[in-house]
Amino acid sequence: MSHHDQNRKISKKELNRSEFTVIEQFVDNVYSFSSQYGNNISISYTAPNIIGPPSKFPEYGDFPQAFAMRTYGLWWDKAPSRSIDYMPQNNPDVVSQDYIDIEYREPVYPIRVSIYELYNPGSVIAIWAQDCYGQWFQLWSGLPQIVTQQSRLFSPPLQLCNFKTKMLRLEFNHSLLDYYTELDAVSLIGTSEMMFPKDPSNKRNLSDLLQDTIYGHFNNIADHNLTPHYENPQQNINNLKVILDEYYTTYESNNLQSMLISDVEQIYHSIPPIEEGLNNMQQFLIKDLPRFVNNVEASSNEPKELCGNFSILSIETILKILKKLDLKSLYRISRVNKYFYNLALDPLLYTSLNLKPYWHSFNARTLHNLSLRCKYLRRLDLSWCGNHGMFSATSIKEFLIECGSLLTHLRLNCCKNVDDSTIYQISVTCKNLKELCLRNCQSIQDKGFEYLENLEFLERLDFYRTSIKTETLCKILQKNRWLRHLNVVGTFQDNINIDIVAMELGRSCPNLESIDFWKAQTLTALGINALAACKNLREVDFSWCGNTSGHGETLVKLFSCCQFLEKIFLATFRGLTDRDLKGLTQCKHLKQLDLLGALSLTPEICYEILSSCPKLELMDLSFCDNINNFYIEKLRQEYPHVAIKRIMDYH
Amino acid sequence: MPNIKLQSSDGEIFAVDIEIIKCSVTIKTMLEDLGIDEAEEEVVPLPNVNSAILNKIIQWATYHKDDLPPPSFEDEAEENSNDDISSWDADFLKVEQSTLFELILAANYLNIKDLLNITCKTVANMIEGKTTTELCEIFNINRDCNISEEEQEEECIKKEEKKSVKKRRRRRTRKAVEERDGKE
Repeated sequence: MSHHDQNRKISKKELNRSEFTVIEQFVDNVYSFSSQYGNNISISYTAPNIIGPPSKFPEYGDFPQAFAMRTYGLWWDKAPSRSIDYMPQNNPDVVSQDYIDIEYREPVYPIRVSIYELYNPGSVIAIWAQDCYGQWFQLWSGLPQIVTQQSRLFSPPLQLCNFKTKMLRLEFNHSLLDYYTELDAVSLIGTSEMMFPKDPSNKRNLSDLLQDTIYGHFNNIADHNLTPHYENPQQNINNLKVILDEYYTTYESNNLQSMLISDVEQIYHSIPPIEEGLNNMQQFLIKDLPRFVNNVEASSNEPKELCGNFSILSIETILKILKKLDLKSLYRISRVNKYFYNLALDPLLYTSLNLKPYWHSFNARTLHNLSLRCKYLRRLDLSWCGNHGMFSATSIKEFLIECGSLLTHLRLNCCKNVDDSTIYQISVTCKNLKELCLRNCQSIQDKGFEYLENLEFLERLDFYRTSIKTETLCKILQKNRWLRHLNVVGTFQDNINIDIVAMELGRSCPNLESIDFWKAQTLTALGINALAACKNLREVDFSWCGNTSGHGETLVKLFSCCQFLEKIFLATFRGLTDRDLKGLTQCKHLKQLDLLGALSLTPEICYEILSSCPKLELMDLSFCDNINNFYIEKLRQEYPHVAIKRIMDYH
Repeated sequence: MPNIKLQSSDGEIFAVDIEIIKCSVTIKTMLEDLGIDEAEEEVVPLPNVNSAILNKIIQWATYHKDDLPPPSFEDEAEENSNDDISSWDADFLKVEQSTLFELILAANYLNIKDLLNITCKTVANMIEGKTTTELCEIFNINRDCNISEEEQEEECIKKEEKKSVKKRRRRRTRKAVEERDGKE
């Protein structure tokens, strides 16, 4: 044995003892997110609150220091401004409604992700990790849960992955929540080295073993509250280290020399990350879909025996059936034979596309390939797609040139690549556009928005957290008198004067049905007054508009002019009194009413509204200090069909 | 309400309440053209629908007679409206596949939008989640030998999925490990 070999052996032994570190980190940076309860100029309830170690945990309750999102329950899906998915069959069983991408400083092999849920836990449905090439791998997914009202350290059992990560994505579905969820922090626990069992005969994977050794004797698995002693997180780390030391070792150790590679793979489900995906969606998207959309060779012989039991149906009817399929099933049936293959190419099957569920796999090539058969495309949802280098603004542009001319509906929410040139292309190509959603598209400058003045048939515009300016928006409104829904929440405050926007709406958009002015600091009585001209209003959100004091008769006027109102959100509306709400008794269609923080309201007006609005389903009376809990209980008993919300003071 | 007499392709005559069968746009239009009085006398032949299927359709129409006319959906929803199948309909459609296809044919011919919608959706549900081979078996479809290359590939994928996941893992693991060693 050579000298060199001896040295190596010694170093291996050393490694064998414990040449790895367990690292626990808290979020270093928020890369991207889809919604937040707070606004850009505040620190309350905003996404960056998730950065760093927990500040309130394990306390339970509503804390402005937490990260909260915009929705809970099904209320937003029932509101007039709801947006319906274009191709629901393409959605997974549980739809992700929100996401947040969080970055850590040190890349690690993830072993545990712990989510510090401060208030109304249960809405996390997926955790993803990104490798250094930008590829995503799902560490965990599950159903939304109804859990006990207490703070929770949510640590679901993870698929272990064989790459280091420092970027995670959490996905949420809020449908089961009783009220807004609030998160304090997210810790990522991982090792510096890839870990393997010391005893090669123990072929169990690390995930299972960890679960047994750490979680096994805890019986709250159902809640996924898998971190024991959550009051003392440091204790957890110590336990984890002990277990890893005892049972695991790094790859370089002696023991592993004798271990077959085939044994290694039983420990790691996922080598490399693409492996798992190849069995399902990613295989489809990366391999199959391009092939599917590439082969456009046509065949004229369609012998009837090729259609089996379908042969009694006309082609139109078969297409009707195929149109109800998700993309993956459509691909499957296209592989049956040439007849179905040609049928599945029919552009009539590609009039509505929802690609949001594939955000993790849809790249420039798939987008291009798909464009070849989308000549009748009318609705396209590319939300969440294209980020992290998946495709560029040019790809979107080319797609629009190829198949954008008939588009009536286009959603590009959270597409960081969408920029001025994209908007220009939209304004030139998509002349019939009715719906344009650009939530969180922060690369668009004011110049880009100006191009939208070329469109005339817009009915829905969503500018949530963009940087559109007052003058540009007003010009767009002047051109689009059919506008029904407008969202200008979280636009950068210096840019927009909501009063002027509201006056333009009153002048130019008589068909307006919903308006979201949430947290608009520049809304005053003047703006609300102007909106009364929009007689078809069904939904208004003036919550957290801080400058509405001295609004006088404006609300009374609004409610009496707009009798179709179904949803009225007035959380912390400055100076709200019983008198302002008298007019609500005329709004027989009222379903949702948020009065959070209306300090002076009396139980009497609540009774009056409840008894005169038979369709009312939701009433938020949190922080209405004049109405004590006794009355709340009484209202709940008398109106059991109305969800009367009140944040309990747990502090 | 007055009845209308419908004659199936095999000669059986069914007397149906006009209000019930008006869910068929074909029959409704015909009645409007003919005038209801006349229709009462006449026997309307339906040469494309046999008695078993016509019976099913009348059963379906009777159950749904009080349904509200489909609401005029906002355009966002139009393409995907009514895609949920009620439990009654699901039970109703638990039939032989050949019957299901005949129902589609009849619903199409009689232009009964809701019935056509749920029958098509039922077939779509049968397709979803199946492999190509399974689809061929379920729907009695001949595979096309001209695309045997693709076929093989498909089989290959399936085999990999079901049986030799290990092999692939091994290959990839080895690669990963080699890469790793290379770096050291």
